[in-house]
Amino acid sequence: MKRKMVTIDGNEAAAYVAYQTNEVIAIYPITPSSPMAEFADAWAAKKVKNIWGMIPSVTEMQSEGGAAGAVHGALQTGALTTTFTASQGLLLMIPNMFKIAGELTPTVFNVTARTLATHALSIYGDHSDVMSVRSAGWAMICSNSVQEVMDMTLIAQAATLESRVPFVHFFDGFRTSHEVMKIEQLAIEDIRAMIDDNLVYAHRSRRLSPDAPLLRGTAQNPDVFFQAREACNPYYLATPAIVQKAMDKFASIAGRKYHLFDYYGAPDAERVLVLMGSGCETAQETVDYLHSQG
Amino acid sequence: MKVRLFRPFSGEDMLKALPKTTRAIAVLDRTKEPGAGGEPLYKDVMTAVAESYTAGKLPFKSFPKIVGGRYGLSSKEFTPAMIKGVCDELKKETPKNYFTVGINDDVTHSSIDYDPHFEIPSDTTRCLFYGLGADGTVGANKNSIKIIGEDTPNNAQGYFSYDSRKSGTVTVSHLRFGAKPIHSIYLVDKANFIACHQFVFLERYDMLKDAVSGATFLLNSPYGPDEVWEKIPPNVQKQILEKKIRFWVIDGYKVAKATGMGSRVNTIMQTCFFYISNVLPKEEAIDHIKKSIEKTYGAKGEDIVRKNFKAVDETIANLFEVKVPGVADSPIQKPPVVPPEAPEFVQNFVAEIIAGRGDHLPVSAFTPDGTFPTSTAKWEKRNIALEIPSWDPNSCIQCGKCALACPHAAIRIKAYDEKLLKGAPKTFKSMPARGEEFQPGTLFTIQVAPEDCTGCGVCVESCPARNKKNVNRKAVNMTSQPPLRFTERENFNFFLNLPEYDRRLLKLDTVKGNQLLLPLFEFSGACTGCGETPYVKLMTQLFGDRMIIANATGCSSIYGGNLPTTPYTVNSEGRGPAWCNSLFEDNAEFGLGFRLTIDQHTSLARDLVKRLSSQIGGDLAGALLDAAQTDEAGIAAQRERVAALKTVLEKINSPDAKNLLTLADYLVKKSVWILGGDGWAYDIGYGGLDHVLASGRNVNILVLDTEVYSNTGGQMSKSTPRAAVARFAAGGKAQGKKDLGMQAMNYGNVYVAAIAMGANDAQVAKAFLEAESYDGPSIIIAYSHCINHGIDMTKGMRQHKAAVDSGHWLLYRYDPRRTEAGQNPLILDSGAPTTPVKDYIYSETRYKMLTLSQPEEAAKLLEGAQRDVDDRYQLYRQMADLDYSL
Repeated sequence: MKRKMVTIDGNEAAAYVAYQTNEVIAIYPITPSSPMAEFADAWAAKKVKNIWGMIPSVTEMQSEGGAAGAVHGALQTGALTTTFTASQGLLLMIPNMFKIAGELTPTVFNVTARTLATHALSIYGDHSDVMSVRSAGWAMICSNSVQEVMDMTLIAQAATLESRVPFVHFFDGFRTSHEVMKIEQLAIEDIRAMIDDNLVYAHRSRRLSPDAPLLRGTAQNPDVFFQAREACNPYYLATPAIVQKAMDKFASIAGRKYHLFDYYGAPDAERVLVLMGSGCETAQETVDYLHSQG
Repeated sequence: MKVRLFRPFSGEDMLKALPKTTRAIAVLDRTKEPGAGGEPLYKDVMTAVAESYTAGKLPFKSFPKIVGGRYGLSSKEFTPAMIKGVCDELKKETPKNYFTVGINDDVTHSSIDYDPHFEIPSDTTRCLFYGLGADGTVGANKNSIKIIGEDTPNNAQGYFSYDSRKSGTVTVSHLRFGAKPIHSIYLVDKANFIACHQFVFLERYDMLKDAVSGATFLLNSPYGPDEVWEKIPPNVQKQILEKKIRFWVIDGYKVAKATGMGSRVNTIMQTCFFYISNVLPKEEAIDHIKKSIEKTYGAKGEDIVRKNFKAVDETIANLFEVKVPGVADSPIQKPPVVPPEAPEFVQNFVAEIIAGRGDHLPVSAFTPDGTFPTSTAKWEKRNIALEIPSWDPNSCIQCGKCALACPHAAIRIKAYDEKLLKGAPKTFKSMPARGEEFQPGTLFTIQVAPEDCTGCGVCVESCPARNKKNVNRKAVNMTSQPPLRFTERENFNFFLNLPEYDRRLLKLDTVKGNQLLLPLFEFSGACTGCGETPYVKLMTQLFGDRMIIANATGCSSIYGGNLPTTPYTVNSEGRGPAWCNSLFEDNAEFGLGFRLTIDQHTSLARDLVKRLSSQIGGDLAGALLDAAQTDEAGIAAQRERVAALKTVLEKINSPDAKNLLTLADYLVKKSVWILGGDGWAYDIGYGGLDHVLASGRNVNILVLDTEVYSNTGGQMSKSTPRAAVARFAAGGKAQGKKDLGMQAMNYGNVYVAAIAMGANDAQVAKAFLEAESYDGPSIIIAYSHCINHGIDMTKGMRQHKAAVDSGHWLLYRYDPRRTEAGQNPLILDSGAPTTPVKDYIYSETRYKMLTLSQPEEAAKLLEGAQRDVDDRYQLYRQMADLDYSL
């Protein structure tokens, strides 16, 4: 299949897939993630439909904390739901992120990784925000380039539906979120092929509904909390293989191959660099050059 | 090795501290990070050792084995036996990594084995006290251990384990004292002294299993030393004999009643403990108890202190050692934890937790995502009421007020065809139903749930009827529970099996009408006499079969969703409230999220009906899309259509049909309720609440306004009125109460009501029905009396009336639909204040106590409080009088 080549930035690449694969989107602006929310809002206003022929509901909240609350509520009632954020905005979502993960709820948050304000505010990129949510129980998947942002948003969406573990999909603020690159745009059929509707229905079937009522968010005492907390282990143990499966399926559809860890360089190398994010692209370029120089 | 400075983590110093002989390290983290590949302390230790290896500075002979494990999550016990288990694990060739200790993980097998019988011998005195939540046992034991610690040379330790439910559940106080320093940071399991402050606990908890040989057992018993033996279960008798336990009894409730303490036995039992244990000379002990009473209750008034003193003085004369007969011949059979007809999940899971064996449940017993079925509270028969209401049909006027006011749905009314009375138990009572809405031959019954009632007496207090022969008696009267327990249990079961009255035929805006609806919120763990739960219950009666609740953290989330049992329940069709608690601060947004999904999925379902209409059948499709659903009949009709739709869809093999099948229920109108207290609505969640009010979306918000942070123990919120004392406002609140309703009215398109059940229950029903029917945001602010107010909880509803009479609480309804009709949207349902504010506020300890501690400040604040009320009434009066027809 011949796919369209587009010259867009990382935010648009993420928003494109997120919009197509979600039903409810709760938003709040924060640099450098705001364009993703703005795209979603603009497309909804233009009545652009997602892969199920539905116009996603896009709602601005009063803070990232509020956006996370609305996302949590929408997920609990069975809608595929997402949001976009960065930096201290992501931190405001932490209280809900623990609950969303603890309830094994599939969702992908797209995060333009940005510096946390410390001695000074900075709107630019590093991983201090995403590293602050490591303990929340989310899968975390990183994209290094604009093309990867589009691809990984979809891979994450497919993997979260199957694993039930929520995903933070992050890429470098400004360097990737605002970098314009010519990339191959995934076709709607590609996206459709990656999403299994049975998993969407399974998510719906776990919803809160008065027609088949259930209860979540209980308070538990020391007698049972610990055991109940360990009951999620199998889902985390299964997640790496599920992600790889989604990557393999993606490769069979779009051709680009990804792995949980992609080693690049000489097979007999003795010195290895390990890193995540846009720096990987530069490292690759440098390794290529150094290698060619012997 | 003890880690003191965790950050910055100095690996070098850590390695210096470790013995050079180290060969294996287990790092124990008290946290869990799913997906992290090890918890934080483990990773730091591993990194430090690996770093020293990388640098060629490893201080050990070889790279040690390092494993990480989790222990003690959520205060799970961490005992010497578990520590020995970890040490034993480290001896193995390949010790388990990422292990857990203290649980049985039969799913991913992370848990390591240990010998639970391993223990460390000790000559410290160890005591256990079993009390009922909120009965004062814990408070008294805190005082006891302070007395022992400060007034004797002993080392002392006190720890108190609670069930996090509001009240009515067990609390266990663990006290240790002795000559040696105490390092036992775990619960007492080998006790020299065990006290049971609630007789009924004997049939529920095997408390003597922890008694050592020759221990002392103190029982609060309605039976004296001569008759108690045959009233206790056989396993208790057996252990008393086998372990040669000295057995003491006191009728604490008798002493409490005689000394004006009501049902508070805490200081009485405390006095017994000191008397029996001989920690201190008796006179000295009593002297210390009295001092601690003064300290604890002094601020609440002289009267309370005096009554406590009296109770202490009369205790010893009522305390007896039982001459234990030689044989265990008790006729008492320990009842099953839950009735045998309870479903499997309740038998295998809920009952284990109720019985105090939750620690033994393995990981596989739990859902991985925290989901639980509703409708389980009805299986936990707590039997905590000393007295329960007994109905007198001859005096009853069938108003329904008893059922409305009941905080626990433990007194109910039903109307039914007289033919159904066949086979009723002998003592089952009924009378002809009065009212034009009932067919001739319809009977009416008021029935109590004897084992679920908490004995608060609110129903009796709310009963307006009088017995004509004896005006002191009403149509419901408190009567001793034990003689009625079994007959009324049978009656209640018969009552439950009577069919519900047809909802479509009831006048829901009347108390009698809505109280004939099945409550879908029952037997919660809320405080005895709770002021919030009657509203919650009414809400579920009116809308429970189609409602989804977002519940802010607080009292309402604790009594609403605390394991092991859940009070939300289902009707005979299996419908009932779906419930979830997210956080404290995000509840409005969380509920808005519900609405976003419901709107989105409803709209998708409608699109699919349109798309499939030729296959569904044009008539059915058209009727589904055009259904009015404005009343119970309309909703019932739509439900029937949806059932028909599902039958059709199951026969259609297409992706659209499959999709619609997952969404068809959304074609029936759903009711989103956002529930929480004033701490949430006025303070921490206000930003979100305001945003949701501004959203225009169809959500209903119920604020259970206790004017204080109730769940955390009574701290000031912005709802706390001027002059009230609360924690964090020890000198009385200097600012006035925030007018949340006024702020909501500002939007113009928000339905707003302020209600108080004890003042005007008809207005309460109207407000609920109007709020729910309004297609936009609605907020109801409900005056809720609370144990934190310092009132007699039996008479809580009286405080509603006093609050409204004084003008402190205005009753009103602001309905934007009236504006559209050219009418003033605001209706003030309460009249001009008829009593001064001080009459109301000084009937509550929260205000009164300031007049004792700081009389001048109190007088000043009272003046301000009166001005608040006067000004606010004038403002509302003028607003309600504005002419909107111009």
